[in-house]
Amino acid sequence: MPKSKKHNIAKAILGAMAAYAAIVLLLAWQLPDWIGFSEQWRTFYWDWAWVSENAHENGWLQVVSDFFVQFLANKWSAALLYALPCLLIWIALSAILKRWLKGWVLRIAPIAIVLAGAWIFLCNGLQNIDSNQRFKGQMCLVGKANWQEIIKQSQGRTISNHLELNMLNLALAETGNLKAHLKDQPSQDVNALFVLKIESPYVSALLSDVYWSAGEISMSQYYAFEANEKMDNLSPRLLKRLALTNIAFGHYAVAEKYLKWLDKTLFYSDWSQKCRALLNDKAVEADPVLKLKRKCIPEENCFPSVSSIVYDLQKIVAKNPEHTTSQQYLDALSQLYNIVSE
Amino acid sequence: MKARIFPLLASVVFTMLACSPKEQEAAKLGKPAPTWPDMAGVTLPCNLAPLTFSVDATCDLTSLQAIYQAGDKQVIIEADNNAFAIDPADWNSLIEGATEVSVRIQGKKDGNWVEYDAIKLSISPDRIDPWMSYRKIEPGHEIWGKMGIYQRNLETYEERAILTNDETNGGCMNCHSYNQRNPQQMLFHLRQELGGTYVIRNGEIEKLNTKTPQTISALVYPYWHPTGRYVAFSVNSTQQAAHSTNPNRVEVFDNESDVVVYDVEKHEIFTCPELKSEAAYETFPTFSPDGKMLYFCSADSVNVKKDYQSVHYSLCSIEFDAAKGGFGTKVDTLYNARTQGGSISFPRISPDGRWLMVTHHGYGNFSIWHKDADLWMTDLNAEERTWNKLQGVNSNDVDSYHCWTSNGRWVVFSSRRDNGLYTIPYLTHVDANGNFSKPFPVPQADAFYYDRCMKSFNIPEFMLSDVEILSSKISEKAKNDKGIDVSFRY
Repeated sequence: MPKSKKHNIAKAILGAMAAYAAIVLLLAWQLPDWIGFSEQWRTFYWDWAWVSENAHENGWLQVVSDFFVQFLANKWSAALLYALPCLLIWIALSAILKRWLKGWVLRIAPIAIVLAGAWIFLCNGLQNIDSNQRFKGQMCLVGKANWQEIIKQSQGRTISNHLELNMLNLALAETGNLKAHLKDQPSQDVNALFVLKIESPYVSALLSDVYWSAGEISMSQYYAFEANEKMDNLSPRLLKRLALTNIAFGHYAVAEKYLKWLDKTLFYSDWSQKCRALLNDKAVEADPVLKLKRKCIPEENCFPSVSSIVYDLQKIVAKNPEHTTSQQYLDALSQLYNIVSE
Repeated sequence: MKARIFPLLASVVFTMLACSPKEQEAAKLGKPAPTWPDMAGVTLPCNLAPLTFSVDATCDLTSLQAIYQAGDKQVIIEADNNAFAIDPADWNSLIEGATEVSVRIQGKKDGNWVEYDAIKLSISPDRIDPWMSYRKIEPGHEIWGKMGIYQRNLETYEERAILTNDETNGGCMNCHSYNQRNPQQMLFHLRQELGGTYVIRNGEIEKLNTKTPQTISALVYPYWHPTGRYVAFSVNSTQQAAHSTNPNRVEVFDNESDVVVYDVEKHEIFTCPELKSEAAYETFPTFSPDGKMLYFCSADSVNVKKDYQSVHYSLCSIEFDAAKGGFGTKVDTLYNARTQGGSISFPRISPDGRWLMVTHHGYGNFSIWHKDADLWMTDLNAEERTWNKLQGVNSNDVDSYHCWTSNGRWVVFSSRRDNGLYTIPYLTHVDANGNFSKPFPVPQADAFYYDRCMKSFNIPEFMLSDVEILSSKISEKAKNDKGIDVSFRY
């Protein structure tokens, strides 16, 4: 191969890499929170037996979709994924514009067009959110325990949606501000804290988070299990929760089953391997989070789904005052009941 | 041309021979292999698909291989990701005429070959019924995702759906039951939108509306009379709740229940005062193999909501007259929960009428959620009634719903011994004297299948052949037929 041709190929590859990097940087900076919503409920499992069963049951399109969806686990991998079609467009544009443009204009124009397009369609377009996308975005923030961002997004707005109020109050409880800021929003009843109308598995998933935060571990497990069932048992977020609730209960064998599933994912296998170290009482007692969650489990058995949440929280707070979010929720409920009675 | 082909073929053959595993001179580790399932000493039916297994990854051995030996026949296979799956054809040829197979697992540790203790598998000439059916559903609470009733060929690994909720508008289905393991006479219930009891006899489907003004509910737990003319059912008002702390997780209890018998020809339900008592909850009916007795569980009707742990079910029986379609008046008590404690569920009698197996647990009737649930058995021919907990069969976790094969030599039962939540069907051999062998899970083609499976196998039932009726035909019937209203006689 002539030296000049080699040089041109090297230049083209470098150019493509630079264009790809530029697009990835832009997307990673600008992609909205809700981009990872679907990945929380269904991801790709790197197991051939699962792939063939999934293909048999749901078709190869689902398998391909699951494969790509897994990369939405974080903004960087999502940006890498979304940048691929942008790169193809850049290559196509470069080939087309070659007819009319030359020199540095030809080098700059295609990437400028692609970046502008990515900005307009993928970033700005996706930022114009409706309430559904806001819910999705906030669910992603809850999944990542990004409490400050949830609180920030609520500022200056009056929220009447119970699901959004649940997420805001969860964020306030986790940051120790629920009692002080509950009345900032028109939170009128228990629905603002524990939404009662369960219309979708996403609401069950949210309730699992809320009950986990409040220290009601059995209800957190109950809702995580029900939501995961509806997601074909393939939700990494809910499998993580189920692993943790089962560890809190000391049900290590079933927790291990969930961890084995997570072992087969690209983005959660590190988490599952770390979590595996907690599959014994000694490790749980040494873990600052799980130790507290385990202490929330009441000694006396009851049926929490049919008993009063106030009664349950009183028992948790009496047994485990260090679990401050339980106290936050109990105080908030007291305030709400006072508001209602006033 | 020949000059080119022969060296090529020779090199291919040489490569294949060089790659095929060989028995190695290995140092004995002097300990059992950490396999799942634990196969040491199990008895396998001669017509069962081979048992696949995995070796725990923590064994730290590489190049794992298993040497199967029966007499002078030997098969050596290599592990795939620590899992072993012998080819069914090799297995069948290996066990032909054999009564025992040994399995030796070898592997490399620090570059040297080592070997675990040999695993002895007994091969029983007692055949297992070739098919089994079960419902696959998550061990959940109130909602469900995908679920269905499936049938499995036990001689191969083939599994087919009989009906899934994809075809029933997502509705729940339960209580599949066959007359004497005959798939030509089966029934099951659909709930919700397409609700009804579906009775299928010789390819004809009947949809039944079984709630009557005189009965508590639509028909629930079934058991066919051997003549095929009748089916005994319970009718139950059932409730469930999740525990906060109790490792049993979920409690399912009846607020009231009775036992009735359905006449398949007259589309009529009938019962008697002994089975519909205000003072008792009657449930889980079962006919004796000769059809002359009806066994059922009965508990004093206490306030369940107040104290669900005080409900204890005894095991009773009453005569049944198939010719007249009526009952005797004398109720015998085979297990008295008032004096003996505990609670009885799922009485099932061996086809020869000698052995009566039940699930025994501390209280209540829904044993699949009770970790103390174990299989117990009594000899109905014995002069004195004694109950024996099945030694070597039960585990520390739930061991519950069970079914006998048509030759009475194998039992399948539901167990949660592996992870405490997801039910797996286990098989065990029983000899003429009522001695059981070590149980093992129903084999799957992939040794890791049960790790991956997020559903429970409910109500494992043996079948003599497969259910042939098409699910689409059932679905069509469910969607387009109003159903037959059954009548009630007392």
